[in-house]
Amino acid sequence: MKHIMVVDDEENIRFLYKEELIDEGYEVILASSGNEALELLKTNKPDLITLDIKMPGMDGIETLRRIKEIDKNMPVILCTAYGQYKQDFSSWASDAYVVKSADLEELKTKIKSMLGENK
Amino acid sequence: MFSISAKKSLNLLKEIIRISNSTIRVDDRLDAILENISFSFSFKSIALYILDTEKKQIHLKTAKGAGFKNTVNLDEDFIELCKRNKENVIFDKTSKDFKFLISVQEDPAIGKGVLFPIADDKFYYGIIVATLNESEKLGKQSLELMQAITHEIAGTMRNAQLYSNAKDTVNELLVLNDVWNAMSSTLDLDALLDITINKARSCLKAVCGIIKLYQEYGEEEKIVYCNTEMFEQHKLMEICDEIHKEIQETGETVILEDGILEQLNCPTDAVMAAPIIHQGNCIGSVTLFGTEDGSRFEKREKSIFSTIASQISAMIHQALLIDEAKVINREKELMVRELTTLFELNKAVMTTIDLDRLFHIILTAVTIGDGFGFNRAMLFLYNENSGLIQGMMGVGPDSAEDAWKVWSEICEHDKTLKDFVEEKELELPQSKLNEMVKRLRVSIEGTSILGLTVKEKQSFNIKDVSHDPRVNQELLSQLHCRAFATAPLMASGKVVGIILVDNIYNDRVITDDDIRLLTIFANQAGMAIDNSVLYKNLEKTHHQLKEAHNKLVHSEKLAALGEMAAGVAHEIRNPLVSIGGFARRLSRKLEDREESHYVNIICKEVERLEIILNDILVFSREEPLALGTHDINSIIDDTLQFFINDFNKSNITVDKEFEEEVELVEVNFHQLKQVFINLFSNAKHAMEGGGTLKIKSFRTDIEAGAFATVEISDTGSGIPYNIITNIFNPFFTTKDTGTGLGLAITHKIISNYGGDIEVFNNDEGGATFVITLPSKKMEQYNKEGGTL
Repeated sequence: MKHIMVVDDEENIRFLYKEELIDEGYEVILASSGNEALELLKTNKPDLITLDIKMPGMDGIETLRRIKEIDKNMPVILCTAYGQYKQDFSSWASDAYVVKSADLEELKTKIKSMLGENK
Repeated sequence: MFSISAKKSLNLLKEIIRISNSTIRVDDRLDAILENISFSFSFKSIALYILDTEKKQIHLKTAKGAGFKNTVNLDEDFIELCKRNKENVIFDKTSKDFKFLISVQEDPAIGKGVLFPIADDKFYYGIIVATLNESEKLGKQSLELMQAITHEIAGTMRNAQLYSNAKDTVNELLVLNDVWNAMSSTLDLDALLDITINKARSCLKAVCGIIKLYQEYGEEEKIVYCNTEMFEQHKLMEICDEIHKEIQETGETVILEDGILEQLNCPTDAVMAAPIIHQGNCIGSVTLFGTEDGSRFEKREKSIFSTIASQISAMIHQALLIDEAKVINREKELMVRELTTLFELNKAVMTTIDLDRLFHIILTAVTIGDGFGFNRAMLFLYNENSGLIQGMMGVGPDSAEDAWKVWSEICEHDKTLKDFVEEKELELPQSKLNEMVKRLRVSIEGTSILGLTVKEKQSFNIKDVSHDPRVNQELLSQLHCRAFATAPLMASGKVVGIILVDNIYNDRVITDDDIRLLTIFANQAGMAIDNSVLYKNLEKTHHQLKEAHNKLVHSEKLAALGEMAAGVAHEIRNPLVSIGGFARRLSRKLEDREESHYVNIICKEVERLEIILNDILVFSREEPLALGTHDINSIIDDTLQFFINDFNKSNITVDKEFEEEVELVEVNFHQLKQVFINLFSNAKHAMEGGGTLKIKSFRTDIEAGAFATVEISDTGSGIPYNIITNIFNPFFTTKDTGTGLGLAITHKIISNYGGDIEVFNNDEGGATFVITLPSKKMEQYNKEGGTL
C-alpha cells in the first residue's frame, strides 16, 4: 500500500484529502505545517507528498526545497488555492502543480500517474 | 569894362546866400541863383552844368539864354583845365573848345565865354558858363564876386547832396523795415517770398522781380515772381538760370554788365542779381529786371538789394526750420494715429480665441472705416504640411450697390470697431464673397502672389493686375479686382496665413503706408491666430489627457478590485474545497437516497462558485512576460555592469570576445539577464582567489537554423564529475547559501526559449557554460511560429 503525506494548514482540507485518498486505497499521513512534515519525514518515507503553498510559518515553496534536500527524488504535488504560483520559477521544482478544487479528480489522476499506477 | 557897384555886389551876395539857405528844392534854388547872376551881370547868356555821378560828363542843369550844349565830355581841354585849377577860364569865340559848349549861330554878337568852376576844397560839382560880347571885359572885382558866388553854389550843392544822401539812407532803412515787417507777417514760405519780392521790386523801383530756389534747397524748384507779363514775354526764367550760374560761384550781389545782358538777350539793360545762401550753399537767386524810369541800378540799390537777399536767405532758413518742424510734427501725429489704430485693432484681435470670431474681427478691422478701410478683405491659412493655401473667410460687400448701402449704414450708426467687437454674438459673414473665398485653394508652388507672399514672407502691392505676370489668373477670375495687396500673417517667424485686400468699389489706390500698417497688423493678427490654434490644440490635448486619466483611474480601480477579488477568492477557495469535497463524499454515500438530491444541489452550487472564482482569478492574473527583440551582446554588457565592483574586489578580469555582427534574440530582457546573473555569480564563487572570466559570443549555423551562442568560461576549479550531471536539477547546490534553484531556473528559461545550455570542464581547468538561443534573424524559425 502506497503512503501519501498530505501537508495543509486547513484542518478540514486535511480531513477531506485523508478520507478521499483512503477511499482510493492509500495510506495517508497528515501534517499541518511544513515543520511537522519535515519532522515526520525523519521517521516516514511516503511515496508522494501533496503540499499546500500558502501556509503560516514555513511556506510550501521553502518546504519543497527542504524536502528535495532530504530526498531529491521525492515526488511532490504543489496544491494551491491561487493560480499565481504557476509563473513562479521556484515552484517549477515541484513535479506537479494542482489548483485546489472541491472536485479532487485532477489531484487523484496526478497522484496515480506519478506513482506509476496509470493504466 | 563891366563892373558892379559895391552895394549891388553886396545885395547880390546877400540874395544868393538867402536863396542857397532856403528850403526850396535844390533845382529851384540853382535856377533862382542863376537868374540873379544873369540879372546882375551883363552876360549875354549863362548856364549851369553839373558833373554826373560817373564824373565823366557834365550835364546842363539850367540856363539863361540859348545855344548851350546839353552834355559835354569832361575831358575837353578847357574844362579839364578849369576843373584841375579850380579857376575861371576865359576863352575866345574862335577857340576850338567854344563850339563844344555853345552853338554860335544863336547869337552872332557873342564874342567870348568864361568858365567858372563850382568847387569847394574837396569836390568838384560842375561849372557855370557865361558868354560876353566881343567888346566886354570882366573886371577883377566881378571875377572875385563870381568866385564868391560859385563857392556859395558849391556849398548849396554839397548841402543838397548830403541831404539827398541822408534821405536815401532813411529810405533804405524804410525799405528794409518794410521787408522785415513783411517777413514777420506770415510763416508760410510761399507767401513770404511773394511779399518779399514785391517789396523788393517796389522799393528798388524795378519792373520785374524773380526769386528762384533750386533743388538744393530741399524739395522741388520754387519760383516766385511779380509782373507776370514781363516774366512770360521775355522768358526771364532762362535768363535767371544763366545769371544764377554766374553768381553761384562768386556768391556776391552783382549789377550785370551790358555785355552779359546782350549775350543773354535780356530785354532791359538794368539787371541786378543776388545769391540766396543757406547753410553755406547757394540754393537760389533773386533777380530784378528793369527800372521804372529806365535808369540803371546804382551801387546804393545794390547794397539794399544785397541786404534784402540776405534777409531772404535768413527767411528761407527760418521757414525751412519751421517746415521741418511741421513735417516732424505731422509725422508724429500720423504715427500716433497709426499706433492708436494698431493698438485698437490689436486689442480687438486679442478679445477672442475662437478662430472663426478671430478671423471675422481681423477682417473687419481691415475693412472698417476706423481701421484700414479697405473695400474687401480675405483671409487664407497656409498649411505647411500640404503646401496649400486655403481660403478661410472673406469680408466685404458683394457689389457696388451693396457697398454703398453698407457704408451709409455704418455712417448712420457710427459703428466703430470697438462696438463691433463688443457685440457678443457676431454674425458670421453670409456673403457670396465669403463662400467664394472658402472655396479658394492655391498651392504655394506655381505662379501666384499668395504663394509668393508665403515663400518670401513679405507683402505685395499689385497696382495693376493685368500687367503683373505673377498674378494667378484663376484667382484673378474670382476676385475681378484691378489692384490688390497681400500681407503675410506671421507667427514665430513662420507664415501661418495671408490677408488679401482690395478697393474694388471705390478704386482708392493702395499706398505704401497702407501696406506698411497692414503688415504690422498682420504680424499681430498672425500671432493671435497662432495663439488661437495653439489654444485649440491645448484644449484638445487637455481633453485627451483627461480621458486617458479617466481610463487610467478606471483601470487602477479595476486592478485594485482584481487584487481584492483574488485575495477574497483565495480565502474563499479553501472553505469551498471543504464544503464541496465533503458534499461530494456525502453524495456518493447517500447514493439513491432522497437526501442525495439536496447534497447534489450543494455540489452544483460549489461548482458554480468555483467557476466564478476561476474567472475572477483569470481576470486579475498578471500580464504574461513581455517579449522583445534584443541584442544578446548588449544584455551581457548590461549584466556585467552589476559585477564590475565584485569582479574588481575578487581580482577577476573579464575577457570579452563578441562577434561584431549583432545577434538578435527574442526574449524577455529581464529573464535573460537573470540567466547571466546566475552564471556570472557562479563563476565569481568558483574563482574566489581571482581569475579570468572569458565571455565569447558568436553565431552558429546548424541544420535546425541559426543560433546565437554564448560561451562563459571561468578559471576556477571546475565542477566535480559526481555533481556535473545534477547541476541543473532544482535545489541542487554546493554552496552554503542559496536555494539551489539558480541553475535550474537558468535551464528552464533557456529551454523555454527553444535554446539549450550545456556545461563542461575545461582541460586547462575551470568550467564552461555554453548557451545557444535561436537567432531572430532566422526567418525559417519565425515561420514555424517559434514556441517561445
